[in-house]
Amino acid sequence: MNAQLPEYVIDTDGLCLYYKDKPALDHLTLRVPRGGIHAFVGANGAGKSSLFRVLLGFEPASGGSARVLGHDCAHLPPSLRERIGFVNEEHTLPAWMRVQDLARMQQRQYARWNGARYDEVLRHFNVLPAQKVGQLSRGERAGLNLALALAQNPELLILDEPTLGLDVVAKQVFLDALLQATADDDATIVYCSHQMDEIERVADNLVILEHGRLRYMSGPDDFCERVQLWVAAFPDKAPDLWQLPGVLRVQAIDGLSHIVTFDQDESVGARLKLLGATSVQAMPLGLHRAVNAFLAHGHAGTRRAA
Amino acid sequence: MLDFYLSELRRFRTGAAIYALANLVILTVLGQVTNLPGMPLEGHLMILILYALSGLGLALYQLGSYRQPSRWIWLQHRPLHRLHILAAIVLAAITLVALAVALPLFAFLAAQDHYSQHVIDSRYFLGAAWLALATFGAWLAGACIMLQRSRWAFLVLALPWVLALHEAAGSTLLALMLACDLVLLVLVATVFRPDRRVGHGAAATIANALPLQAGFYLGLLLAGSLAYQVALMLVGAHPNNSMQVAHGGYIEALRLEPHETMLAGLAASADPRAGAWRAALAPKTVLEIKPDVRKFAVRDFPSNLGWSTLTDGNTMWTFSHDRMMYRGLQPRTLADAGWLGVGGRGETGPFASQPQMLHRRDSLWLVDRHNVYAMQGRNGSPRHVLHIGTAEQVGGGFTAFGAHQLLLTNRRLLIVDAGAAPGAATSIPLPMAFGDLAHVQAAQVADGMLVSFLYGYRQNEGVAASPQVIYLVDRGGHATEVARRELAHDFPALFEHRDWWVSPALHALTRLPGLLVDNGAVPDDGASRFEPLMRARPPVVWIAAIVATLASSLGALWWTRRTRMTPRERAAWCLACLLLGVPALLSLVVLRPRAPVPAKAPATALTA
Repeated sequence: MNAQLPEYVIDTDGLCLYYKDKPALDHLTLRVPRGGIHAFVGANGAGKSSLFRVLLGFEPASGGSARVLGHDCAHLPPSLRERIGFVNEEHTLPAWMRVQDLARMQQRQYARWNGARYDEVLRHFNVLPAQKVGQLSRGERAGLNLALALAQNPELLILDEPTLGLDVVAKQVFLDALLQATADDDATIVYCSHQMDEIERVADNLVILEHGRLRYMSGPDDFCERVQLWVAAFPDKAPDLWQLPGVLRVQAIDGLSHIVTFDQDESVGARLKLLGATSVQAMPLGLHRAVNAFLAHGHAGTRRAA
Repeated sequence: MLDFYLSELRRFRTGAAIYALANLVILTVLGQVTNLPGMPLEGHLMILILYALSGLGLALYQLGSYRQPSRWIWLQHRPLHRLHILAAIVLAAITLVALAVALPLFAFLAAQDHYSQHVIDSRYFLGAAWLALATFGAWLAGACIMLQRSRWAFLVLALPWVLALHEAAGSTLLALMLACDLVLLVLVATVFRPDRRVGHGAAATIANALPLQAGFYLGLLLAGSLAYQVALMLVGAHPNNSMQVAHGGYIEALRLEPHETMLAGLAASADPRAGAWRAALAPKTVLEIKPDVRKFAVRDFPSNLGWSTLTDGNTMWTFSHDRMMYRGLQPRTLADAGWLGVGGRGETGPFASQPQMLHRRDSLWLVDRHNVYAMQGRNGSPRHVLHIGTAEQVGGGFTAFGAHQLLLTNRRLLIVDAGAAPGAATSIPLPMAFGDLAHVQAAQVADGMLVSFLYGYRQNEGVAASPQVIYLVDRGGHATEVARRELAHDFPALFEHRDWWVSPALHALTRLPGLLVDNGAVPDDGASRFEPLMRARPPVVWIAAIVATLASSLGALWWTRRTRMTPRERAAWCLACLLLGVPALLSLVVLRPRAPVPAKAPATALTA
């Protein structure tokens, strides 16, 4: 790693952001290391988009500090903005411009413009240079947006739910283009999505936010290893299983109790038997279900529903 | 930057072309129906409002679309300085205004000048440029409103109201509008940043706070005055709408018949002859004249204080500021009828200012700042009647009274005998400032002529003294004061002096541009132009001003406890509130909202 470059692309310390009196970020301390694809997940209102707005200097922090690529987020110079790409869910591009004019404008503004990469990414999508942006479908606009962002050759690329609203095919093409273009790149990608299949496919690191706080950060595999599903059969009514340590979710399915735990060892099985379970079976969970259980744990009303 | 500029032009090119074409067509059609450049100020104000709304609407749409969070990030998150992006958008707006507003206006004026017989002065071209600048100013105000996070941002509209709307010469107006646009541009620049917040720097804070404070000041005055007067109306106690007015007050004096006002004034006279004069006064024996010329049009004012034409038989004369003479037109044939100057038809000399017409029974008089002319006969030649010298100005009231003509100036009342030389006129100095004079009454009595001066015209602007003063002009032309009474005030002092005690400093600041600019008003003789800022205030008004500023300062102290300010910034705001009063406190609340107190830090996260 270059000694000149900061170790963390994103570095927040006790970061707070309030909208009126409601906290969107609550003493968030987060250090995202350089390189790789970091998946940010969290329920709606977890603070993901708010975090990106603070990182790009579009919201002043209510407290704490935030640095991106080693710079204070409140004062990002234009030269630093050149090193940070951003793709949002709406793919807002000027509808009145032609694709070729838009690309030419971006090319003139970004010194590290990579025209070959732009062409390569755009090739995945059915976009003609003479078309007006307003005439493009949502998937085509997403592709154009991605091509423009990747052609900037950014050190840090933030993708905020970029596949939201895309159909299955468009989503697939988008991810293929992203992975292909960044395969040989040392850029750091922050990928925010609710789609666990996407996360599973692209993420090197998993960052889970909840209520503006950092709940979890590590590799997806490690996360999956720490989340376990226990299926127990109780002859009569199941006891209160929430009293067990590390329980994330309890569900009754086909007369069986499905208990998801976090960071628990095999002793959970013995405890379930002590509570009267006639049979207990442990099994691993996929990332999708593991994250869902993790997020559902903090979601208002989940326990009541269970 | 060039890319953005071209992009914005591309975005609005169709709309701008349609607007420009429609603008030109409407101007041309209206130009066939009426003398559009020569119409009165009210008509031109309507045109100004339409153009200003266009500029405002463009900004609200243009910047409103960029203000959406995702579009705002697209616009601002790029390797360009924010001011370069702003410059591109502003230049695009200037180009659009030039194409859609200025170009059709200039084309219309040029066509009128070339193809019609209408008087198209150079001031109208200045007016067109001013309209274009005003449209751009409205665009900038719209940009401020759209970009600032505060819902009170619309108060920025107070800035053009205070700074640029005056009845001054075209060049002055252009300079003021340009200055206003520059200030608005600075305001836009302070908020055209990724977080759309006014920076904490002193310059940015002052630049944003002052227009906001001026807006709050004017808003408070308007709303407070309106609320108070509506409340008075609801309880049936408004002096203007009720019979219950102050006894011996100004409004009561205005409602009296002329002879009754004279009688009321004489009731206060200690002169032993007053009883006989009172007995001699009967209805219709008292003449009342008013200072009906309070303002002359400033030369090169791009609009008109009323229609600037006078019709004489088959000729319609329109005043030209370029030549300071009337230009004639035969309405039926549209043939040129030549010029009309101070000496009659032909280029016989310019008037001192654009004359005002005084219609008196079946005669018509023209008055400019220093002269009176009688319009006589069907050929419409003006005859010079009176010159009052250049040290004073005509104030109107030119009326025949028996064998005399009465003329008001800003220094005196002139009583000119018919047929006598102007220099032989009897002169009564005005007992107070011309601007406070409501009317003058004259009556013949056995001892000569009684002349009453009634004051109180600016009572509601904080002028305390409102006397009625009566003179007796004897046969020898000597004037002696024979009666004086002080009129009661119909409104409380706090209402009359409201524009001062709410914030003395902002009162001065908002009045200053109007006082510095020559708007053509007939001045008070010998008075400083800054007299409105130096008026004496009653003790109750002083107390109200002190209480308001102290309360504002204490309010600022309380408000800033929960804002993230340095002690120095906090002290500056408290001092500003002490100096500027309630509007400063309101601007503090808007510009520095209180920050929520963060709760304690939560538990640490789980990491690998």
